[in-house]
Amino acid sequence: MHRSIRSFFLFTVVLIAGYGVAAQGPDGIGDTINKTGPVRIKIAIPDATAVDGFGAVARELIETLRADLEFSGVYDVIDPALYWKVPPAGGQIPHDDWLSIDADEVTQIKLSNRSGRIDVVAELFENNSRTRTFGKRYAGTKELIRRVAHMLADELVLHATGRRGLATTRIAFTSKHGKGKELFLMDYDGYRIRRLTTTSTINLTPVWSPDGSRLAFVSWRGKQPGIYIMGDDGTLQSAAAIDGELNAAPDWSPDGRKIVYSSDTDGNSDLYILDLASGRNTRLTRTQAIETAPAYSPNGREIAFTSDRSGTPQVYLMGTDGLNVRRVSSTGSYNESPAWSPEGDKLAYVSRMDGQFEILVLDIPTGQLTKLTKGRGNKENPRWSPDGRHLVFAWNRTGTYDIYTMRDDGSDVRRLTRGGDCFTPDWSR
Amino acid sequence: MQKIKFLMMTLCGAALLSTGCVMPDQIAQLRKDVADVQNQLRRVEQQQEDSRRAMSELRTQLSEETGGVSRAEFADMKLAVDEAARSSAIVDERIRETNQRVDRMSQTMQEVRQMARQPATGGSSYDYAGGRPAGAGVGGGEPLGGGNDRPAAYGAGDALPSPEALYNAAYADYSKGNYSLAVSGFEEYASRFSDSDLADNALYWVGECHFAQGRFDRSVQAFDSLLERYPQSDRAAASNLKKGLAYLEQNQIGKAIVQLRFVLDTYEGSDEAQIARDKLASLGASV
Repeated sequence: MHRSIRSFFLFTVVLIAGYGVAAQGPDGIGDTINKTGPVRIKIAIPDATAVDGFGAVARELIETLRADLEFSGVYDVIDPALYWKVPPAGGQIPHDDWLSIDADEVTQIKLSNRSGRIDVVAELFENNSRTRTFGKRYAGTKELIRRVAHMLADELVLHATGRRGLATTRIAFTSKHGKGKELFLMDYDGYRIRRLTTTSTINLTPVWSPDGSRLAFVSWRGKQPGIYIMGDDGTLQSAAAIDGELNAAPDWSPDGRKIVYSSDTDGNSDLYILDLASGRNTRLTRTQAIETAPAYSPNGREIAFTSDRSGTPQVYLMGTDGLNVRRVSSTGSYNESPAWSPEGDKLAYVSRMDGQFEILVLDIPTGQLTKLTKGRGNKENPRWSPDGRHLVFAWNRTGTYDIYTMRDDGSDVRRLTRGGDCFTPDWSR
Repeated sequence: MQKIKFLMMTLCGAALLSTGCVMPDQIAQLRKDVADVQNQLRRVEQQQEDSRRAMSELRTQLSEETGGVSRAEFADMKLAVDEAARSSAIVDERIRETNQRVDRMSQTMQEVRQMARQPATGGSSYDYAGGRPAGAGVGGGEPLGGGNDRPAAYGAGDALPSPEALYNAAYADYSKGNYSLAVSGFEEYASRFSDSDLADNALYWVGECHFAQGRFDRSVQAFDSLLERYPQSDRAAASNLKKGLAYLEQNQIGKAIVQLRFVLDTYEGSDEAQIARDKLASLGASV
């Protein structure tokens, strides 16, 4: 074989072998290697055409759309700095010019004024086939332009993959506010932060119901900390959990009918399942240890949780009937906060390593354990995005905790909040 | 503890008999773990003995000089007893976890044995170079087995999944809600590695898969199969309880009560017995 060809093959083999593979560390934990991921669609998103007075809105729409599609992992947005190479074509789409800067697809977006509201017409063209493959119309106020961009981004991801994107998802979290800790909500990209509670007391661990219409959380608003459920209309109801001094860490069953939580009603923290319709509580654990942070598996048949039954906090699994308990975390003396991936094929959790907390992911089919995070500070409270390709977590890199996201291989870390001591995030389904 | 000792001997023996030097670091680590657990056990036994002696002395004091013991002394004693109980529970848990680690090491031994028995042209896909994943194998550990012959479905040149891969894949299917695939995987595991430590676990998962699908008859059959083939299994209590729960799901209340009472009587003090007691109470049945 010709030497250069052989070199090419070897290089290719190394690339393929390296895809998604984690190097083994001393504890058998793989270190993060950023995988290249599937081939992305190269898309050009030129500026929108807009009527007078809508220029700033059009810019916000396009910039938000570009960011959303980049984040999606489905599209690779061609650098706008190259767009000058594509001259205006008098209303036609210059497909060859777009192809010359590697754009497989190109958008054409027009904003117009319809009785004071913005009318957005978005189209997508495939440059090779010179065909229009997508078209959608949106209307809204200027204030909702980011929302319109998110909706368009999700439609484009759906068009490309058959699965809706993440751009319209939201993240709930806790943040210090005055003397209390309040619940907040933000778009997946950290924009449009709004406060959900105004109690001036402590509110913690918000968790979305599977249909995204309700939030369960722990609040000190009563005589003692209890579990509450907030509806999407802002209504609040107290969950009929058992009478413990500290009821904590709720999580929804996949059908939204039950909540698993921890309670210290018998002196130490054990796990219970509350049937929301009947108000019946079923006890799952009966040890003298502290059991907490329960997480329902996506199939609704198992609970991952943290227990110090072996002397130190470790991650365990058990059936929802309390049977078949077994330890999952195999390395380290302190592991906690398990979180199932939406497909049920991965389990993320926090592990103390070299004096700080890191986020690990266990791939269930292979048993491979991978450390996703690096850098100074504690990374905690991991939760998955609904598509299972990203995680949101809290990190005190700057001294106080903020909310960050990263891809499921640990790459593309983004900071969403700045200050305010933010933690326990949860990504809407 | 007996299981640990027995498996240690088995492992060491197998390691000496099998081809090449097998996982000396793992065996050394296991020996260390077992020694640690034994030391902990001794410490807890000592702690319990001290507590018993102190309690005895306290009783003597109480009988000899009524009112001579302060509330503070009582409180101290209670704390000591609670601490001893907690330590005992921790050691129990560590013994269980060490057993699980023994199971995992047994699985590696199983793979090595199979490698030695396979013909050179077999074309197996086992990773003998030590490429086992580092994770715990969340399905509950891995098997020890006797190197069964390949099922007829596999040709001489076909690649066979390793025991761990087969077990983990079946568990992953269960986690993802692919119950039919999971049943197929666990049944294959239980069939191919019937003398492994996890064959009973695999059958337990078969019962769980049927239960999850609402096929309670088949679920009971799977648990019966487990109990028949592995009567000493550490899944026996859970299997008997699940049978009772399956009867309940089928509204066979009488059979369920009999089964739950059997669990209560047979496995007194276990979590399963406690769950059976709760279920009986919720049915209004006497315990």
